[in-house]
Amino acid sequence: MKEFYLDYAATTPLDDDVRKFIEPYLCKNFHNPSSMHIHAIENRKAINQARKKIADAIGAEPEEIFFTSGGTESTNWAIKGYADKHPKLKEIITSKVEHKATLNTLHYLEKKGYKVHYLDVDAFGLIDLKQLDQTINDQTLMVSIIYANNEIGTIQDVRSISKICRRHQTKLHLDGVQAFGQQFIDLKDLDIDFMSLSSHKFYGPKGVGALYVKKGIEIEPLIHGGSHEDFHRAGTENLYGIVGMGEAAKIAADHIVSSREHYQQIQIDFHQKMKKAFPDIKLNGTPCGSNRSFNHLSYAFKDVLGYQLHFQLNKLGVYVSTGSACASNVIKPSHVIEAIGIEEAYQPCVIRVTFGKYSKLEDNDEIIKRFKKAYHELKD
Amino acid sequence: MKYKIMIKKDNDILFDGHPLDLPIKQEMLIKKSVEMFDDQTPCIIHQTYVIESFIDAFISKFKKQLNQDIQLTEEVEEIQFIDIKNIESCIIQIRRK
Repeated sequence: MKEFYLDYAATTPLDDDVRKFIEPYLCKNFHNPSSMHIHAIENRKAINQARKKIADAIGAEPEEIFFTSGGTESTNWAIKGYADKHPKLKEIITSKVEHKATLNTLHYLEKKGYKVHYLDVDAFGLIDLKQLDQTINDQTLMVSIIYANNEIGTIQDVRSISKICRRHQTKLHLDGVQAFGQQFIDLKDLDIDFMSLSSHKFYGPKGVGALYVKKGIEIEPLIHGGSHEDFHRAGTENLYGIVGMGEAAKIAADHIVSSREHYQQIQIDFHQKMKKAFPDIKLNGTPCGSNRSFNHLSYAFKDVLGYQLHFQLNKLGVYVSTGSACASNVIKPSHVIEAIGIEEAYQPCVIRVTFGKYSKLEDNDEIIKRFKKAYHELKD
Repeated sequence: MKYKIMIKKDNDILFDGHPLDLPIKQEMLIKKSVEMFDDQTPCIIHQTYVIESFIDAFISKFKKQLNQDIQLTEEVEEIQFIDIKNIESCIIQIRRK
């Protein structure tokens, strides 16, 4: 049976060119980049080149890029690190559709006495810009917003968010984990202060990420120790992860135009066919072609349960995700699905389909055939 | 799921409902969780996946005998997860909703 991986928003496979690029660093190039002999210096150079590749990919300066263990650490660090440096500012603004990396970091800070404002979103998952404008005050530490939503694919109007933050002279952190490789990100043009990135979302290795910190902004380290990452993030560097991330970022940036075209072609065709196959389904998030991730579709079905449909699809070799979360021993719709306020009858069954560079347009018919089979296995 | 299950013994109905509501033996759930995830303390999502696996195997086993009373004559692995005493001697009926 042919298998279809449609969970690229969860993670992507390692690009073959990236794998080849990493290989020497897994064995012969093992030297500690902090040492001062010839091979170690070569590895230091490789890290700095990776940093430059990431900086180039987002229009930043190399000294604005710091390597981390992934998107979650980057987000934790941006928020907690900036909070630690500015203890007098005790309010943070975010939205109700953030990734758990942001939400649980903020819940932690709430316990420490911070006041967190959770902005409402509309039915598409777009934040209320007016509410953002009205909520920022002289106690606001920062605004933290997800650029491309991991669950529903909505792309926020980051330019307007940035303008509002600038007008109030408030710092802005973007969770760019799902956006990089799909959105044209030029930080010389888009004025933000922090951005989290995660390598494994764009065909790089897992366990490595980066935080962009705009030049001049002071941030307290999350992890203390040696002088690594210019005294910002201690610990011997994840050498193969970092060089792999750099190469993956370069490939993603070099191919962004063709990737977008590829994803969009598959997305539009798939969506049209799904609507025909399931006239009752609802697309969560923004419509295709309008502030929506090009590789992302999130559907709500009626009369079946998400985990059951997911199980049936899994049996049929179609690998997707559900929009469910576990909370206190019950499976419930995720906070994002609740925040966009989809009809109650549709909430228990949300299925996320995300395409990637190895997805093929010609597979759409077979995938939808299997969706129909799985659905009808559950419902007459 | 479009199936309903009835389990009877000596004219007493021991269970009649949705397969997902079948009583599950906790030790079987953990055993399967260890087999699948190597996890003794699965979260609710993993527990649900294990239960789905049990039910899927169970339905597949008896799917061809829809709406019939199935009198088990031997020990069947696919029913061992059901937490009903002496399940082997019960009558099972699977029907479409």
